[in-house]
Amino acid sequence: MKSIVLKAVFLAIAHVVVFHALSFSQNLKPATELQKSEIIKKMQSAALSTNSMECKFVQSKTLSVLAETVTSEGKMYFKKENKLRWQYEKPYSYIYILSEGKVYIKSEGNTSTFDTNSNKMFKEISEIMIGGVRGNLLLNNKKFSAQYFMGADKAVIKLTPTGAELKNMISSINLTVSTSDWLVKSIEMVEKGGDITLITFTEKNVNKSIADTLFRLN
Amino acid sequence: MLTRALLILCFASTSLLGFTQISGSENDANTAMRRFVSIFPFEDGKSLNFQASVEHINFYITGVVVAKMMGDTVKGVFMNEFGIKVFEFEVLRGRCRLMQVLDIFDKWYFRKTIRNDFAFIFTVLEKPSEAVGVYEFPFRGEKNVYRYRFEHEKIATLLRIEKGKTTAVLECGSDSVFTFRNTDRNISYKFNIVPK
Repeated sequence: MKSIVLKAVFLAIAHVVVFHALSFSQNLKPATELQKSEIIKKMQSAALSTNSMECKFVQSKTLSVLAETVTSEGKMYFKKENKLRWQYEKPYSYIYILSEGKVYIKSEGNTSTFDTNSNKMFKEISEIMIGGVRGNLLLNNKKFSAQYFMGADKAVIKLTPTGAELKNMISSINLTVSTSDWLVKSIEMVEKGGDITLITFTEKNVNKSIADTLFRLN
Repeated sequence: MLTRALLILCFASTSLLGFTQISGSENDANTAMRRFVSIFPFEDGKSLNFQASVEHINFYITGVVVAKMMGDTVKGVFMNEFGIKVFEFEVLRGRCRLMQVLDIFDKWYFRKTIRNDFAFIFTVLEKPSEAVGVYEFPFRGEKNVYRYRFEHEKIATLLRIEKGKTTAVLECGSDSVFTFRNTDRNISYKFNIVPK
């Protein structure tokens, strides 16, 4: 009786594993070496030719402990080489600016400034955000190992942290890149505990003139 | 045997209610408990989202708190605006557990302060039948109480009193903005309800 039950459990688990493997393979397949080189080359080329970018984003965070998803929206501005303005507008107002080695934060009327060189956490966050927006920076980053997947109209790069500090925060970061412009379409951060943050970019405007004043707090 | 069982049951029932009326209505506060009440406008089973900040002379942390009241328990998550979880918490009857604390905050003094303060901020009471006047809710032994004053069936003021000394206070509250102050360690917590 026990062996029958065990067999049934094993078959159920095997079914689930195979089913998921098949589902994944229907949409995405591991990239061949040739495809991998193509992805890296095209993303680097797109990053090189992107001097600025302005877009909207929607961020949704799934909290497994509460069975809730929290959604926020805002705008992102990027200017070469490393100027970034990440502005939440709904449902709360929060501005994060990265410019010339400093982080400026404005939240509920209070402003704070940090030096990325002296604040490790902000340095890591800044690198991830800029790298996520530019796409190619994370590919060349020794802090992550990368796996590449190809779909019909997209490529997905799964980045796994190699260092202990980042590993304690994040299990993996999945960048989805559209093959139409080779720019990052979405960033999915999977936390150690299983919670997921998904940031999707829309209404991208590339190489539009962006004032430097946007990268300062007034 | 039956008398003993009944006595135990009565004692247990009183403990479950957990608070003592100090002043106010002459009606027995132990009768006809209707629902749980918090300083926040929770609806049972539904979450509230807050823009939150923790301020001390040495640090200032902002983030988002998502919390849900389920009966007499409040579960929640404190995360930064980018969605990176700082910690999970669960508050039940004056006690708070912290889980999955982000490494950089996983220090004993941070955990101890946050546990004590979140227990104070998020503890829920069974609402007395006539919520008027002052009630005390003991926690961690008999020398410590949360003191609530009800006005118009809502909690108007809230103090934490430890061994006779006030160590935390609800400084101001409106319908959507709540500020708590740990007067012992000079830390302020602000919770601003944001729409979903």
